[in-house]
Amino acid sequence: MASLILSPAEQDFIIRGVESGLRADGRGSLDRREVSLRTGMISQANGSARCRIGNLGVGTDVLVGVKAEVNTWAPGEPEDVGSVVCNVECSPSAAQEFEGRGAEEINVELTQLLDRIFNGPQSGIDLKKLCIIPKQAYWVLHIDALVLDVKGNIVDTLVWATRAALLSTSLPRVVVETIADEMGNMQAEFDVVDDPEDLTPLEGTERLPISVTFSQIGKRYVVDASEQEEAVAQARITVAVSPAMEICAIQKGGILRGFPPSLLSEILQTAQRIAREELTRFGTHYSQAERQLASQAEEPNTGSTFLVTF
Amino acid sequence: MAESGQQVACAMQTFERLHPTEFQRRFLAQNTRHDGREFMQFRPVQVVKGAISTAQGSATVRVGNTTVVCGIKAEVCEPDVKRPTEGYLATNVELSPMCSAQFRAGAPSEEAQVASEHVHRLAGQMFDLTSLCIESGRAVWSLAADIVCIKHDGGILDAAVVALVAALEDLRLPKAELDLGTGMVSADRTMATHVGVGKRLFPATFALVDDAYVVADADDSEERMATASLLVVHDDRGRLVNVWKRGGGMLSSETIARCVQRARERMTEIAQTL
Amino acid sequence: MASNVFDRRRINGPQRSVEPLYTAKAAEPFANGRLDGRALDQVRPIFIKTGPLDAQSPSASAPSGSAYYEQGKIRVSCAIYGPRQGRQSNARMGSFDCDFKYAPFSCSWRLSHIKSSDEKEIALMLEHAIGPAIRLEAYPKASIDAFVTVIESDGKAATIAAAINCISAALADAGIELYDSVAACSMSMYGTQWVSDCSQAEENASTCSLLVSRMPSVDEITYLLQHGKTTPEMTTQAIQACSNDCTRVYAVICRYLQATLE
Repeated sequence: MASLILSPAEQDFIIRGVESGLRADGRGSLDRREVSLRTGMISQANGSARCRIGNLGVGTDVLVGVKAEVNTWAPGEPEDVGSVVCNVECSPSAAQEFEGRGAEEINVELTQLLDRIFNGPQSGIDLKKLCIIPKQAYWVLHIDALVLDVKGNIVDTLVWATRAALLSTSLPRVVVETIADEMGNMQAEFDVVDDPEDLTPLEGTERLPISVTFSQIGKRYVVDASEQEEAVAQARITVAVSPAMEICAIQKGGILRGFPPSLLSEILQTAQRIAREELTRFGTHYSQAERQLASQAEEPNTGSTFLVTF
Repeated sequence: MAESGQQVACAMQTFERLHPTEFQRRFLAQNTRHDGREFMQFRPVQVVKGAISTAQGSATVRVGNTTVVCGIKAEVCEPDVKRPTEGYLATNVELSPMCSAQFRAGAPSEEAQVASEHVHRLAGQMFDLTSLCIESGRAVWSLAADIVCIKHDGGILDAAVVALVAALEDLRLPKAELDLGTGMVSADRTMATHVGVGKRLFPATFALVDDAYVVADADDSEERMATASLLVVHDDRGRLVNVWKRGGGMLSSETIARCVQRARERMTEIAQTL
Repeated sequence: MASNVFDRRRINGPQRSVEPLYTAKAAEPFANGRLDGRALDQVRPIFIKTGPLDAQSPSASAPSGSAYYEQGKIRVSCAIYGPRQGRQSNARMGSFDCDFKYAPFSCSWRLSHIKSSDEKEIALMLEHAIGPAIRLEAYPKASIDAFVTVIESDGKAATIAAAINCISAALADAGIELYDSVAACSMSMYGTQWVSDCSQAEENASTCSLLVSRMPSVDEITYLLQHGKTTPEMTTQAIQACSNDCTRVYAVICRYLQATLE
């Protein structure tokens, strides 16, 4: 993920700084950057959010849309559950190395990571509730993320934005009826109610996990690494933690180093503490975003609101 | 003495690395080959059938150092309208970058495409597709036979054909029944039966090396110098099924006749291992 | 279930084909101990052979090292090419790249010839797991490539672990400078019990899986992956148990590598 090339002196400055508990931007090793969060940016999607970590112009910026579609069941698929499909794309405008096929590897890595966190029972989303009629029809949630700008720590920004997008997702109501056909067989049929007001929020979103990513620099580690710090980081580890403080996923990244077990257990404990703080912080940011969205709804919606609010 | 022997071996390796063509020529000029074989001598064949449990039929074949694994996966599908009782058999030869540095990852190389195509043509001659019928016009078996090359050291077509024959002999299809109501095919794994190959095929490849010497079963370093190659395939009754000459080098009709004769002798060698 | 992508460079089967519905019920895992009668913390027997793909005579196209690895039904083959000329001519450190491919018949379902994103991600995982063991600074401007083919798989996490062990042995065979051999092991959770080295049927029934790779003599965990939800205590317990399994696998690999030198 490192695109920045730093001189040996700069690298040394960052490594020694982190080892003595100081970071180039003045943060402590476990401090996170400012976050700004907006929801409901995409009117065509069932849920959407945009999250930026860091300041305007120097932050990592991710836009996520959640689109729900009805799929017909095919033999071989699980019978009574819906499904989640993740896709992450890094915009070529975010970094020079993403041009052409350069983003392919990172797209795969981030897509699989997002899938590992949000697809399955560990995400907390009740997949059984996404089933419309068993062995007939179910909802598919397409989570599409677009990375607009990269200034370190894509993973956490991505998880913040996806979490907010899923929280703001609501599905149209579905009416299921049982009708008898000519043969006298009972057959279930469904109808999606086409009313923009008649929506039900997704169930289980209060259990959605949050992630904390640690970067190993020198003999120590930092959370929410900046671009410069990622350029010298030897390894990275992402821990996803649910509000009930369960560990939902762990993934290591980085080719240069591994983690000594003592550092790893320290990281796992720290992850829980930080996740708790982050969940509270997420809560305040999310309710603020919702309030802002509600106040916007009263004003006439012009094309420029997207730019103004951000 | 031992030390000087080692030096000779080392010098030989350096010579082979720097002048591969000249290295081979020295051997050929003295009526022998770099691995000690005679011109018309084949490498030994080893066949292991049915080692892979995830495939319905499988075989691992070694010809000298060349190693291929053939696995057959069976699925069901609707038959072609024009041939309502015939199933499908798709054979592909995979030459991955693992087996030799001359292949790249991704789309199949030209050599792999040619091999796939030729193996497929031979498969059509030996295998009776109507044996894959479940319900005429409604459901048939579709076999995907993938021949993955693990180690490439020449003679890939020979190894691929032998592997396909062995894997088809090993193939066991579960007893399948079509439910006319739902149109679904149910299969019982406990009642699997052999399908059987129509007729076994026995391949033999010859190469014209350096435009002068005809050798049987060339290895990778000899294939690189070959200007022509000749594939001769017999069936189990000794009938000639396929003769395929490639490359610009000239082969006289006597040479071809001699190769066909030698290929027939090779038949018994392969038949014993199967 | 395979949707057949039409590719004119390959021999194609029918447009659409499906697996039949198998009537025979698969045995329920853990209903009565493990399906193959192993103890819960027992790793399947391992077989290693280095150098099956190596050249007998010097040749530019043969790999510099190779290994074949079996763990129960899992069969993995790996070839190492390099150190050879890298793409970046001014790189301070060498690069290490992995390519991972399932043979089309290696899983219980049929796979496409085209590389899936799953395979691409596993290739990345292998790079991240093995990379820390290689002295890349000893190979400036060079690249080392590992090509892995899975001939048969049985359990996804266990197959990745087998691939890591296989590459590790192949790197040693190629004479690449390493800090230590990497050994990997996987575990799945069934109920509240961790079970070592699960087969596909066992993995399907579990709620959480964990993969650990480590360099035992340096005592460094080179890769860690958890898929599924557990409590932090269970995770810590599993990392510890997996690390112990890794040490056992490591002993097998080392004993084999030592034997090849004698």
